[in-house]
Amino acid sequence: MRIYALYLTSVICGFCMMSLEMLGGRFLQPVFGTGIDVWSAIISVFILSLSIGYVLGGRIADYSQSNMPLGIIITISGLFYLILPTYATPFTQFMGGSGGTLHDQAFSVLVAAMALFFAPSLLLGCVSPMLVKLVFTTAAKVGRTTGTLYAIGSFGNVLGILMTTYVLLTSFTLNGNMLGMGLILSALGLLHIFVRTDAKRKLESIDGIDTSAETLTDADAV
Amino acid sequence: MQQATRQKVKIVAPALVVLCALIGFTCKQNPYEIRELGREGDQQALKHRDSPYSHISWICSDAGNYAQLRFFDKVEGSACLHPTWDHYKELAETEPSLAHLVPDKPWAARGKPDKTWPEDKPHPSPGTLSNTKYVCLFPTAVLLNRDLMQEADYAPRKAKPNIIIVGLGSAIGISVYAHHFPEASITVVDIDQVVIDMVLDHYPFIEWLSKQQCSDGRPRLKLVASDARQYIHYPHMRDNNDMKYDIAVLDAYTSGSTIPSHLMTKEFFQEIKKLLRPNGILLSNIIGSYTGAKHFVVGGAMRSMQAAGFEHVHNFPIIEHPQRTTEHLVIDETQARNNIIVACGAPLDPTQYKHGWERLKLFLPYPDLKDDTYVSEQIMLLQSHNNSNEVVSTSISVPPSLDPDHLRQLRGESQKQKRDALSKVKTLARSDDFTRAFIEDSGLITACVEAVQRDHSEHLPKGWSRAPNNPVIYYSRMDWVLYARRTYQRSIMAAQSRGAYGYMHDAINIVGRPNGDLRASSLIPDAPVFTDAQPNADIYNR
Repeated sequence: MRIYALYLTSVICGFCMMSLEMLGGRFLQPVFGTGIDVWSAIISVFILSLSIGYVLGGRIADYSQSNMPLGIIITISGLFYLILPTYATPFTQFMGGSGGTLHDQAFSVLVAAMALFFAPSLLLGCVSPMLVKLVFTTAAKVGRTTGTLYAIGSFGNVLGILMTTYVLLTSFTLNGNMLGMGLILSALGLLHIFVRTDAKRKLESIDGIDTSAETLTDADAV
Repeated sequence: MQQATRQKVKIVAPALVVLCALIGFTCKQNPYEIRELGREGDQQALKHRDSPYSHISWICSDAGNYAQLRFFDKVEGSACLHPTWDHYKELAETEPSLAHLVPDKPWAARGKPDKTWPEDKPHPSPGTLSNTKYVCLFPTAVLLNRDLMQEADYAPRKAKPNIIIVGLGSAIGISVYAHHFPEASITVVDIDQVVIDMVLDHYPFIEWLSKQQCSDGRPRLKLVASDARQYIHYPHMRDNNDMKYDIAVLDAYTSGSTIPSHLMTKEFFQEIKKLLRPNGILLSNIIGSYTGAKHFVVGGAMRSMQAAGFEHVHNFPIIEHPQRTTEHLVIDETQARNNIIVACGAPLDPTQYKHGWERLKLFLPYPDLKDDTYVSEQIMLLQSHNNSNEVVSTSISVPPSLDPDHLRQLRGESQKQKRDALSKVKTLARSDDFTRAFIEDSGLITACVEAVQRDHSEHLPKGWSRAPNNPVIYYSRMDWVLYARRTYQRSIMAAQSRGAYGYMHDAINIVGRPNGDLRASSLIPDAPVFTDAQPNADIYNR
């Protein structure tokens, strides 16, 4: 049950992240168009923020043993989704209109993509390592569990991309999609805040090194 | 993490969620909002459909006399609301040359405008007149077409062109061909079914035309929703596999004034050449300059057409501000503009095709519509910043509560008032088709400002301040028929300008000969050839 809840978290976060990528293209579209430079800006910003998110998420994961930080991270990303519709359009119009100061349009679309999508996707990137920590059971099965987790997360990514383009954008407005996903992410984050679960700490010894719980566990873990 | 912190988080987090949800739901900005420019009811947008491929709306403006089709807030085509199609029906009773534009039986339009359309405003039903400049040059593809003209005994109205148009827009290009060539059979290919539906719902004339046939049974208009490259490449997508077209028009744009890159390659032009008759003409609307923005798009397109077998390529630039030197018109090479690029296998320049250019000079757009009849006036109050006369785009149309005497004075309805008004006018441009002027009469300006403040006592329109800085009155008057004619004539005049190496707007002068001679001396010597392996026309867009 617990593992399925964590898998579901992975799917939902992957879905929302890739959906943001497609919706982000639509936010940038009225000012910057849909050319290849816009998409390269979006993809590069997302992958960059994901990579930084992985580093940060790993650090945070090691700091705590429960899913409280996970809940906080997901909630904050949900908050970003909720308030993005208020500033996305004015900001892109400001960026598009400042052709005098940012003369190179390629630069301005990168700045716009960065400002709009860096924070939410970084936070959702933090989710993956934290989930790895939570699903981790034994070192012997770490490959399997991590691989399964990433596969499920990627499945959520693909679902997010395809459903956004072909179903969500035709059924709901652009802002509606953002707000809906913000509510879902916030609800998921609040669920993790209120329903606690801890990282399982069954470790096995490797090459004679004592990896028993007493030695490795964080002293004031929560 | 301490227990106390956990408790705080459990309180703060839901509160933040509620707060941000409230902010998001109340303060969200519409990404594609079309902003009201001024007088309420002047710009009524129909937010029609929201597909992932386009966001389109029609805007009708009484003051400007046009109906615009807008994609993502950018104008992609407009048609003049007057003369309406019903007006054509009246005119056709006395003017036989308009008979091919009106139905002989009563016609019920397919769709009705959106339910948000105001009930007191008539539904738009434009005729074939438009205020878009570049479509005035579309008839050149017929007039310069050797086979077509020979088969029509050199009478342009009798020509029977088979035309394939890539890119529908707001169907003004089709209306130009339909108006001037009664026997034209037009096939339009647009990738977006939503655009086609939009045009058929709001342009009853086009909807009627799509059901009509020429005298020899060919359909006058056929609308196809498909990718143009696929449609042209696969014969099974075209019902009539072996029909050869006389003219191909490339007018496809995605958002951001970008031509899709797969429609700008040498291989695509080769496929078009196979679809055309031997002396068939490819006419493209390509936005760009010669040495400034997007010059590689223009140069690359010309070189790719040359490489595809259209050896002779000539440009008809659309003139914004003509500067006359002797009898030719000089254009600013750094300025991006619409370029109507005509490509053919046979020679096109004025020296080698004298008869064609004589026909071009004799042709008159809209010969059956009277000038000084379809005129729109726009009177706007503008505020300028920085104590300079630089016009800022925040403007407001003449407020409804303006004193009728002042209004008459603005419009100069009596001779004396005209003289008085014009004596305080700084004219920006005056020609028989288009007049623009600033009126600096302080009494009039004060009356306008007071009227604006009266009309908008609750809240001012966006961008307008309560005490405008340096207000001026901007007056413009456009005669739509003459505007089309003058645009056409100016472009023809510019296109025959000669320079040191020959005709300035011949591709030889711009990108060199197909076999490479004269490249070093041309304007865009390093223009690329766009191929399928390296399409790149949209990368060179910036």
